[in-house]
Amino acid sequence: MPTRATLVLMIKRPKLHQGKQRLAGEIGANSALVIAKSLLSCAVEDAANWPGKVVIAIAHQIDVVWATRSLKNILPAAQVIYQGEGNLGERINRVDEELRSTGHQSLVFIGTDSPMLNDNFYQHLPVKLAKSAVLLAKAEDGGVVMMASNAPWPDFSHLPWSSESLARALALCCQHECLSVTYHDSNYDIDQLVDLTRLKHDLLADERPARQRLLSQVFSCLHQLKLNHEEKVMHDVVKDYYGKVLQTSDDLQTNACCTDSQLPNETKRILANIHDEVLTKYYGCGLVSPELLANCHILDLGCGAGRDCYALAQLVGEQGSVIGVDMTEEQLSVARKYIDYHKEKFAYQKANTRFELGYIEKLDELALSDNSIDVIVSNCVINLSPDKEAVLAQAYRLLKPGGEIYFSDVYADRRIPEHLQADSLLYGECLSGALYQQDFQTLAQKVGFSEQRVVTSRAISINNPEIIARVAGINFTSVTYRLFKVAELEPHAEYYGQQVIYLGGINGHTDVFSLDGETHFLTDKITAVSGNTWRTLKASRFNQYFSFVGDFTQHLGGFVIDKCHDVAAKKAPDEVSCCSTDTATVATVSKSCC
Amino acid sequence: MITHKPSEDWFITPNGEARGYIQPHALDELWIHTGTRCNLACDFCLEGSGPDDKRLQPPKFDEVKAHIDEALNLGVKQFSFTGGEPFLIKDIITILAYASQFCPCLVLTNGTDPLLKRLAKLAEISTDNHPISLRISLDYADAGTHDLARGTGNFAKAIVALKKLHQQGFKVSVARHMAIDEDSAQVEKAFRDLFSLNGLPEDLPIIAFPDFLPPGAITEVPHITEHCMTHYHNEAQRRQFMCSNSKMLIKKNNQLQVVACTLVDDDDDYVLSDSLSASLDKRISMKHHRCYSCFAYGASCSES
Repeated sequence: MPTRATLVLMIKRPKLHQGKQRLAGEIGANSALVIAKSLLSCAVEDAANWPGKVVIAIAHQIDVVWATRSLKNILPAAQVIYQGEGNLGERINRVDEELRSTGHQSLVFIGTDSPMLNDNFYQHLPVKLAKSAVLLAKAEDGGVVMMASNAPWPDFSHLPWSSESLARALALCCQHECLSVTYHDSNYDIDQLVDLTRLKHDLLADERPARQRLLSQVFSCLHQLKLNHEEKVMHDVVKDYYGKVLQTSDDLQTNACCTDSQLPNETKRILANIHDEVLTKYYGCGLVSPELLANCHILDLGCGAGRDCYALAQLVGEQGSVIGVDMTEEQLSVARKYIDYHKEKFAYQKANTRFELGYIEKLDELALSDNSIDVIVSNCVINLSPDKEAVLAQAYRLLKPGGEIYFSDVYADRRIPEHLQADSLLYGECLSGALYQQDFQTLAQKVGFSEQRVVTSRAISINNPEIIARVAGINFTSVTYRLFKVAELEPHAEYYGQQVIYLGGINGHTDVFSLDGETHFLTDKITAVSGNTWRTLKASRFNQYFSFVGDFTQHLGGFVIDKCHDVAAKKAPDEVSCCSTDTATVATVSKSCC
Repeated sequence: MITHKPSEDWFITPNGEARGYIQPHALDELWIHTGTRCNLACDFCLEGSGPDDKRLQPPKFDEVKAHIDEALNLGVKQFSFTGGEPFLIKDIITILAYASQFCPCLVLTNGTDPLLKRLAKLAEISTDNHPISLRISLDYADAGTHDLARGTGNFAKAIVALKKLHQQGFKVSVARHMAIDEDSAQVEKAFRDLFSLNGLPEDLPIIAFPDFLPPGAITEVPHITEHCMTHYHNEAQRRQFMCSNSKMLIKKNNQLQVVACTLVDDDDDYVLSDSLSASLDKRISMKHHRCYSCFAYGASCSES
C-alpha cells in the first residue's frame, strides 16, 4: 500500500501589480488581482478535498501570518511553511527537504494556476504515483501543473523555470538521477487572456463552489473587456460611415460623448441601412440599445436627426414603433424627411417611426399616454437638461409596468460648482451638466425608479490641459444605466432564497445573459437572485426567458452574491424524508374495503 | 415462454373468500417501462429506481418494436412510458419516433438533466407525428419540500423543463404527491400560482398520486373480494381499471414480459405472458396492496 501522499500548495499571496503580469497587461491589474484570488480559492478547494495531509508553502515570509489566518477555517489541519529564498527550483528543493525530514514520504506539488484540475485527476493521482518514483502532469505551455515524487527531488536550481521546455528538462533531470518518470493527465495554466476565454467554456459544467465563483469573475472580466473592445470597433465603424464628421469628433477634448455599444456586427448591418444625411448629422458614437426589442414601443429622448431611431426601428420590427423627441427643429426636419425612405428600405407596409418636437423635461406636453412605452432610450442627452428630475418623472409615467429606461450619460464624482456649470467649453464636452452620481440615484429613487442598475461604467479621460485645469480634480464617468418601472422594488437588494434559471433564447445571448454589469445568468443554470432582480425579471419583457422559483415568505438578509452561492449550493440533509407524513397513507385507511 | 403459475393467494384471500378480479376487455394503452435506472434516488420511489438500480432493465428499440407492432394490431390507442427516468435510456428517442407515427405518446419524466439534454432531439421528432406529451413529477409546489427528497436544484430544473416544453408546443402535465390529510384546494392553488408565475397555463393538468409504497413493501390493506368488486363497482367502473384496458411491458432478467399494470411489476404473479395477445385473456387478481389504491381512489396512471 502506498503511503498517503501529502499535497503541497505553492502559494504566492495575490496582490495588486504582483504576479500574473501577462494577464494584468491584458485585462488590467485590478481584474488580474480578482482572478488571482479566485484561482487561489480553487486550489484551496482542492486542498480541502485532498484525503491526505496538506502543506501550504508561502512565497514570502511576511505572508505566513496572512495564510495561517485566512486558511484556518477552510484548511484547519494544514501546516503553513515559508518557501525560502531563491528561484522556484531552489524553493521547491527547500520545501521538499524540510518536509521529508519531518516524515512526509510522498509529496504532490501544485500551484494555483490550474483550476481545471478535477476530481478525476486527484482521484487517480495516488494510484499512478504508487507505480513510479516521479509523476508529472504537463501544462500545455510546456510547464507542469503538478509534480509529485516518492523520493527527494534532484537539484532543481538550474532548470529553465517559466519556460516552455520546463517539463522536458524536469523529466530529464529526474531520469538522470535514476528516478522513473510517468505522466498524469496534462492540463493548462491560466497565464493570459486566451486562457480565461477557454476557462469560461470549461467551467460551465463545473459544480464546485470555488469554480463557480471563478467562472462568475471570469465572466465579469470578459464582459467588461468585450465592451471596451466593442467601443473601439464601433469607433472604427463610425469612422467608415462619416469620416469627415468624425474628424471633428476626434477634435473633441475628451471621450465623454462616446458611448458603449452592445452588438457591433449587428449595429454595422443596421447602420448601413440608414440614410447618409441622417448618419452625418449624428454627433456621437455607439448605439444605446438593450436586448430583446422585437415588437417594443420605444421613445428616444433627444433623438437629433433620428439616427438611433432608425436603427431601433429595425430592431423593433414592423409591429413595434419608435418615437423620437428633440427640441431642435432643424435636426427633426432631417429626421422627418426620411421617414418614407426608411419605410421602403426596411420593407415595411407602414412607417413605424415618428418624430415629435418638444423638450424632454416637458414630455407631458406631447400626446403620449401613461404606461404606453416599453423602452425609453437616451444617449448623452439627459445631462444637458436643466430639470433632470422632470425628465425622470415623465419617463416613469410613460413607461409600461415592467418597462425600462436604458440610457447613457456622464456623471461626476462630486457636485459641479456653479461657475463650472456655466462654462461653455465644459458644456460642449458634455461635462458641465453632469450630475453627481449619488444625486442622480437619489433623484431616480424619488420618482419611483427604486433600483438603478449599472450596465457599463467607464472613466472618462480628459486630454486637454485647459479643461483639466478647470475641472480641478473632478472625475467623470460615462455610465449606462437601466432603470425598470417595477412598483414593488425595494431600495436595497434583499435576499429571500429565490432562484431563477435563464432558459436561453435571447438573440446573441446563447450561453449567458447579463441584466447589468454584475448580474449574469448562465443558460440552464440555477442563479440565486435578489428579490428585486426576481421582480424585475418577472415584470419585464425578459419574463418568458426565465423560470422562477421561490417567493417572499422568508427574508434572509441583504443580497450578497457569494453568500447566496453558498446557500444555493448547500445540500439538503440526506436523512430527512419528505414523505414521512405520507408513508402511512395506505396503511392507515379503514380496514374494510368499503 | 413464461409459464409462471400464480399462487393460491391469487384466487383466494387469507380469509378464504374469493378474490376480486378484473377481466381485461381491451388494450387501449400500452405502457413501456424503460428500466429502473434513474438519475435521482428518491426514497419514496414506487419503482425503487435509482442510479445503480437494475431490477428492470432498459429495453432496446429492436426489442420493443415487435410489441409495439403487436399492440397496434390489437387496436392500441396510446403508448405511454415510465421508468426509472425514460430519457436516460439510449433508444428512447428512436422508440418515441417510431411509436408516435401511429399513436399519441405520453412520457413520465422527472424533468431534470436527462430530459433537458435531449429536448432538442425530442423537438426534432415531434413535428409531423402524433403528439408526444410529457408528465413531469413535481411532488410539491414549493422547491424546499420537493428538493428535500429529490435533491437540491431539481425543482428548478423541473420548472425549466415544463416551461421549455410548453414554449415548444408540447402538451405537459404535472404528477404531484397527494397526502392523505392535505387541503387539496390549497395545494391546487399553490400549483396554479406556480404555473402562473412561470407563464404556464393555469389549467395545466395535475395528476395527484397517493403514496404507493416502495416495491416489495409488506403492508396491511383490506383484501378485495369478489363481493367488493361486484357490490361497490359496476361493469362500467371495472372497465376503468388500468388492468382492464392497459398492460405494461417490462424487461426483467433480460427478457421482455407483459405485466398487468404499471403498479405491480414487483410481483411475479402479475407477469402474464411474453405476448400481449396472450396476456389479454388472463384475469387480473386484486391481491396486490396497490390494487387497493385503484379500488378505493380509482388511481390511474393515464391522463384521460
